[in-house]
Amino acid sequence: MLTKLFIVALVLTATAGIYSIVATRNLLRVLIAMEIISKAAVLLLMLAGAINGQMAQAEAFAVALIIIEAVVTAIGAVLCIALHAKTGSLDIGLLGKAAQAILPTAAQATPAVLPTQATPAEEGAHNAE
Amino acid sequence: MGILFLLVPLICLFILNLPRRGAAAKLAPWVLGVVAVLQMVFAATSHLACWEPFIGFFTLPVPVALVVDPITAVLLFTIALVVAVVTVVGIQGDARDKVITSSLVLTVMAGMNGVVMVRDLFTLYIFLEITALSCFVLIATRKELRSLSAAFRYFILSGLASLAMVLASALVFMQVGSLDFALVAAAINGQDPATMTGLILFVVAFCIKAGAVPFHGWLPEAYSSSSSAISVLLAGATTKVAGVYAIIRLSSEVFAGIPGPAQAFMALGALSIIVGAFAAMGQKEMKRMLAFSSISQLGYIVLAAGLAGAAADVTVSLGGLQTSIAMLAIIGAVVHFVNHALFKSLLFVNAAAVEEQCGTTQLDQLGGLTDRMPVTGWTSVIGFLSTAGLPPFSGFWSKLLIVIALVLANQWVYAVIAILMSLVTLGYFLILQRKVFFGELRKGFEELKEARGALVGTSLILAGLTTALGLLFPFVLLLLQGFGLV
Repeated sequence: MLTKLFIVALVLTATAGIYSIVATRNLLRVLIAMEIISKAAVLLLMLAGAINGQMAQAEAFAVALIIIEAVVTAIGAVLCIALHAKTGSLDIGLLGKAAQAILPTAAQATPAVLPTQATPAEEGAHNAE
Repeated sequence: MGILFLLVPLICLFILNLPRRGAAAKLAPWVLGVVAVLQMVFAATSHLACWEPFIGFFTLPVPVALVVDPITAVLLFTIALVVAVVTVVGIQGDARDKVITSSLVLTVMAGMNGVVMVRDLFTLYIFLEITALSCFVLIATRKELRSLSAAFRYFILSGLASLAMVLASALVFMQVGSLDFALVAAAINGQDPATMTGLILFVVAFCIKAGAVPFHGWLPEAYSSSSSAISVLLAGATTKVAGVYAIIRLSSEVFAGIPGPAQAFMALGALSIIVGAFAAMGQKEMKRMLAFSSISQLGYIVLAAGLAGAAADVTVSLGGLQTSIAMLAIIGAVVHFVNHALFKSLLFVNAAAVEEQCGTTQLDQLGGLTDRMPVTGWTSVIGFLSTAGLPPFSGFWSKLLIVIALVLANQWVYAVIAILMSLVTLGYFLILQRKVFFGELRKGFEELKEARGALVGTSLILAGLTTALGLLFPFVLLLLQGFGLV
């Protein structure tokens, strides 16, 4: 009985997570959807432990998984904040190729040269002017 | 022995963050260099017994087996080599950036060392996450919109891959009651639906991590938008260890003899070879072209890894050498892994040199650079000839091993694809070479100078290693045989 309940909860959680990751256009919601799927993974680990009788090991895996998920979410949130600070938007279109055409900051990607050193290309441009 | 490869980077990470920012920034390249050299020494001598008395001091609080077998030792050496190249190329930015980036490189190194040494699925997941999480931040440190969006795209795809891996591990755990490689390999048969689902999820997870073809969306942007040193690290070691090495290990040890995953890896590997090569042809930017070339080359390794799983223990006799097709394929895959680290690092170092001197890597804005940057131009030729698999260079031998294994296993279609696509590789690198290095010097580049000494030196050393490994390959094979391989 309990196992069946577990399976129903697992399937519902996984479906909710996968649905929201497909349906949303907001990066923060994508992050939340990934968290929901990872909760399904924890449930599946516990179910596996209950079925094969290795509950202690399953608990150890689940605790480690929860710790890792916290770190993953923190880094995802940091990337979200940085993207929002840069563009003022969290639309999923930011990840596509279109973003580089729309937003001026992306088009003029600065080359990794020292700022004091004028590159030959720039000098050439000056000469042409 | 294994624990040293985790402790050394982590202790140095601690030391690096002790002094004040300014001092730490000056210290950072030395710390990275020392770690890389120490790891090379440890990896090269890991088979000797002389380390055993010292290892007793370090024991893990958790019972995790860290095994250093010959393949692991070769990969540990390669990782250290790529980190050494990263150190010499140099991390750009102010003191804060330097300390943070160096710390993250050390974390990535510890994560990669863990990935190659572990022998159970859940610990593998933990080390993969450590590696991937540090990589997201490393890509984003350039703080441009392009790198941020590349990092987030990698974050989402890699996160989904990790979730697929955990779900698959849970399904396997349900059947087997353990996640140890040996126990899983003994118990798994791939018949019941739960295990089948698990295997499919594993294939998807590792193909996303490796960047094999239907799942390669994150890779070109991640490589081309990160800074020079980081793109060397990503292309040379990180994504290969995180995805491709895991495929080699799982396909040849854990899922050996189960037809499903092996066939899937072979098909996806061949697809990556084809799509990567043709996509590279159409690129307009140097680093993006190198990234697609990476996809194509990792296809060879994935193809060989799949073959190692499919042809588990068919013994063949090759020139008086008794070996199995699987062993031949694994050696081919590992040697191609090492070669790829060498020549792709070389090409990315040269891309960094071009970017620093010309301020751009757009192909149509460059031309005739060999006149002003002879070393960069000619080492690029060595790099791409090795990538295309031409005889004097090391790339030839690994591709030859893979093709021989494919032919012996009667996989003619894959063998023909592997050979034909080498010609396409030659094709797109000729385009690159002609547009960037050969021909008439483009207007505006008259004042151009050769890149700084560190970059030129690294290019020369890597080109020398590629050539030497190619010329001395029979001795390398003998050495591997001495280690108990082949």
